[in-house]
Amino acid sequence: MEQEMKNPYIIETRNLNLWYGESQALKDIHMNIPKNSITAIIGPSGCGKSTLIRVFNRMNDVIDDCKTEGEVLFHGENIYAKRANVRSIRSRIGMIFQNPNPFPMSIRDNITYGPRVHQIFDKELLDEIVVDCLKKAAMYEEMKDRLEDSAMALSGGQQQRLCIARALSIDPEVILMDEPTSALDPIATGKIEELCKALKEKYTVIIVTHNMQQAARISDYTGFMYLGELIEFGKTEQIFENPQKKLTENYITGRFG
Amino acid sequence: MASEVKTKEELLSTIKEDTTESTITTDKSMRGLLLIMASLAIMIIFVIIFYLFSLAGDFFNQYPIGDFFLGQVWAPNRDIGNDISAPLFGAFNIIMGTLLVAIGALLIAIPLGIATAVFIAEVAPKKIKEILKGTVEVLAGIPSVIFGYFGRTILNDFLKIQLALDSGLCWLNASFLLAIMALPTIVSVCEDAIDSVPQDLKNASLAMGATRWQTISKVVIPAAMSGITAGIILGMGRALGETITVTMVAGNQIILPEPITNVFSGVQTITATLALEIKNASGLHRESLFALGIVLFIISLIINLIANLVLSRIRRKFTGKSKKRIFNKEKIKEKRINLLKSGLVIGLIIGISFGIVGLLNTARVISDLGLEFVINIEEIGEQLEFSISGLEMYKLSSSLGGIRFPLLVLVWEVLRSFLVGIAICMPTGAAIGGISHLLGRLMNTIRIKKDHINEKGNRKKLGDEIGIHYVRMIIRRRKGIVLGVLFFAFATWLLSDWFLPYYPEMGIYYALLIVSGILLILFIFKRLKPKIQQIFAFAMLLIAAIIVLFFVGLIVYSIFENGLPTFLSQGFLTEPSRSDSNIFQNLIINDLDVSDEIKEYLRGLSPIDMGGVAGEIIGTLELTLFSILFAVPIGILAGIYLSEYAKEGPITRTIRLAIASLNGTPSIVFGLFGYVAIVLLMEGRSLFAGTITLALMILPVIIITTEEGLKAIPQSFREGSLALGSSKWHTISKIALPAALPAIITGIILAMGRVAGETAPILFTAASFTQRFDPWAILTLDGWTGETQALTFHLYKLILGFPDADARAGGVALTLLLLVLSMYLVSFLLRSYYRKKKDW
Repeated sequence: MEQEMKNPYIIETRNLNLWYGESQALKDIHMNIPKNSITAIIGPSGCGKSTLIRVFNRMNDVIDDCKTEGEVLFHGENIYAKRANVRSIRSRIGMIFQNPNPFPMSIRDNITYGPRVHQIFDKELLDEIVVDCLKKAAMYEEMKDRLEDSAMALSGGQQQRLCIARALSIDPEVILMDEPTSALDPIATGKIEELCKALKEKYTVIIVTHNMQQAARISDYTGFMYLGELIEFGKTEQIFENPQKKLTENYITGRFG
Repeated sequence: MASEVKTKEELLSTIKEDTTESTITTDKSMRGLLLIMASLAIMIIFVIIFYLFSLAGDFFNQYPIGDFFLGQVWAPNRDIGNDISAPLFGAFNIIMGTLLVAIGALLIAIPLGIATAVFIAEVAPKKIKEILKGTVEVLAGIPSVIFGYFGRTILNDFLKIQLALDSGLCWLNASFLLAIMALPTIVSVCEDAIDSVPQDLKNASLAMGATRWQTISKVVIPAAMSGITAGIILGMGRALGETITVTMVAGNQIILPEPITNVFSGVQTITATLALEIKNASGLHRESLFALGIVLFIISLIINLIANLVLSRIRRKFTGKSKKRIFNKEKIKEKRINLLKSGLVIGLIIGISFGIVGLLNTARVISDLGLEFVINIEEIGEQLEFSISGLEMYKLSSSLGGIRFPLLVLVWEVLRSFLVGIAICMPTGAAIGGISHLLGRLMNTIRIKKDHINEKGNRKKLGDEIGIHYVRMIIRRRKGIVLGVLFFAFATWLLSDWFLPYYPEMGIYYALLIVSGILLILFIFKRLKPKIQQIFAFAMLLIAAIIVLFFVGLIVYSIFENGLPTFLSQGFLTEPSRSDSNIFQNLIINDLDVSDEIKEYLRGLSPIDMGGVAGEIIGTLELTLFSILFAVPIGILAGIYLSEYAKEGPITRTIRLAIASLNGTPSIVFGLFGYVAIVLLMEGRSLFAGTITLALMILPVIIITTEEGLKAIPQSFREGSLALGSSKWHTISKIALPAALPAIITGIILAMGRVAGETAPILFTAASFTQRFDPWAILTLDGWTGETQALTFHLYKLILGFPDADARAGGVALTLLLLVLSMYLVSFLLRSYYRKKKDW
């Protein structure tokens, strides 16, 4: 416990390599992600940033020929260890996907899904969770009268915020976001960004984004990836104003990518 | 240089003008042709429906409808012989038999089918998945007569010996076989539905720490519910409409099981009644069978309509597209005009169909008169040495100068039907359109009021005031205890008096025991750890898949074991059957009853003594080929029209519904139509009649296959072509159709397999046990108007008429199985070939 308190990093990777079949998607990644912060991962298409974020809650297990080597430490414990409990890891590290993917159920059922999966059946507690999560996702006022409506009837931005509320329902410590705003319009994007900043108080947010302005606007730390390698990682101001590597500078100034 | 450019431009512009003009004309004429074909297909559908209805109407004019539906005695032949009391047509037990058999089949097929589908789609490793899919496809290809053979031999023996029954031909036997037969439908439709649930949704669930089983049961299955429902309903349609298998294994006793849960009682279904009785029926009896056919048709129609309704409901729920209410006056007016228009068009189609029905009816009356005329002459003592048809009768009567049959009356009859049909149906259609629109408006206003109440939050749970809510809460809290007590009460009570042997009277209590047991298990299951839940659930799915594999294997193996020696014996495939031998002659006279003498004779025969099956093979191939040739042009063109030209609206929806309904219609109903519309008029079964009947049966399949094949082609392909200025028909014929062709071709070959395996439609339209064997007979008119042999029918007759000709039956079954499965194999190979080739 003591050690954990001292360790400012919630997720650390050591010698992380990953292959899809024959092709290597991640090369020797070393990365430390601080607690209660927003970390952005940027880079051109196909650089492996989505793959990296999916490593953190073992979503790559779903892909058949995916092979992972190295260590990913969460609170100092390797989540790729043989005895690691994937279900508990995923319930402590939540994820938001690129395209809003609410379940084809009512708004209430979408939010209570997570708790029910972890065997909470008490109706009053579930109701409490629904209200709490909607409030955290800043959509309680919009939604309180239409909890029984189908989630599919919501707009894209609302759906994505509902997905965030759903992820919060099992009270994770880390929230991974895989280009959460790329399918949304500027106004909805703004709302999600506001939400991210608010969530930082209690959670650690890791966000993959194509949009460099977005990374600059909201993140505390930024990592730049290129062809499966982590080129540079540091405080956002430092990366954007005073990049150490030529590649990073070229990308940030728009010379390629 | 400048001049050269100019000429190029000129050239291009002239080409453009030319092509636009010529393409516009081809476009228009193609559109016309397609429209005609689509209307033709729809007309056929309506004619079948209305003609059968008009025949049933004849029956209900003469026999009280209440007595028909509620009467328990079915005695159509009571006026023959000594008993002179009037015949009775109480169909209650027959209708109940149909429903009981179908329900029994569903109780077995639904859990097995869904579990197998889930196992295939979500759990099985890739290789096992392929094996299972192949197995299910093989199962779909096994003809119903082979299931009948299996039920009558192996399953019958098993039930007789293991359960010490008098006969294994019973409700359970039929339900079990129908369940296996409905499995491919249920599994393939459910698996498609489960497969099409987006990976995104599964990821979302997994990312929250759900197990795979939790994801499947709570996200995937609910999301695929519409497809699963459709699969179940289609499976039910299959079970209800199956004829040959139930005729062979259900015992054919027109009784209600006593008590109702006695699954070992023999029952008779509507389909079996039709198959057994129609050939020897005439007059009121024949008409009563049409009435039964209509009952069957209506049941299957209702099932199809429910399937449609459920699908659209659920679809709306999951896509979140609710029906938009229209308040704009202009739009309401427009909608009303549209509905009126569609009402008129539908009325016109129905009217014309009525006209054709009138024509058929008139023709039938004339042909009946012809028969009466022959009988009269025979009574006088004169001999007519030629068979007489309606038209000949007309010629004869006018030449004799006796009874006059003015042609004018005939023409007037037909014309009258047309006019009456159109005059009644067009306004009726328009009125129905108008009324349904008004009703829709009314419903909308009611719904708005209801919503208003909801928004205010005044909604109360039903029964809150009278405390039911609390009772319900208590029950819910104590559900496990209640369930446990119930279960053990039933179990101890049952076991105290009876230990294991089955008493039919106990059926209801066993049912309760099973239900409370299942509920108890679910109750406990829900409280287990998710990981352990998953292990149990996957084990159950695996067991279901193994059961399916086992039975397919057993059926195929038993056919091979029984049939291989005969199949391999010399001449079996190349020689015709011995139609001249006494046995066959005797069989024709006695139909199904075989005398002891013949049985004795049969025991001494080796399978090949009865000849080979070359004639049957050729007959089956002819029927298949020609019916497909009839159906394919109409079907494909109609399918193109529906997919590419038809505007979405009430008319198109009605047409789709009609096609879907016809697709779900039992094949024996087509047989009935072919019998009354062609066989009775041509005075005899014929290859022609069988071909047309089968073509009608397969038409909706081809329309649907074409439409779906075209719908699967991305719209962007068409847009790309249209954006280059090519015409609509050009786009369809050069872009959309070639891309869809593989799907259409595989669909057609599958349809061929289905036609080759059908018995019911040719049972009384074309098939004969002993007939010609002349491969070239179809080149002559006699070949077309004569009866034909078929493998399916031959096997059916062999099993029912020659209980001791087991070896030969096995050989025929194997031949049939190989023929049908080879068509399925071709389709399967083609599909995988095209799938590999497909690069988009």
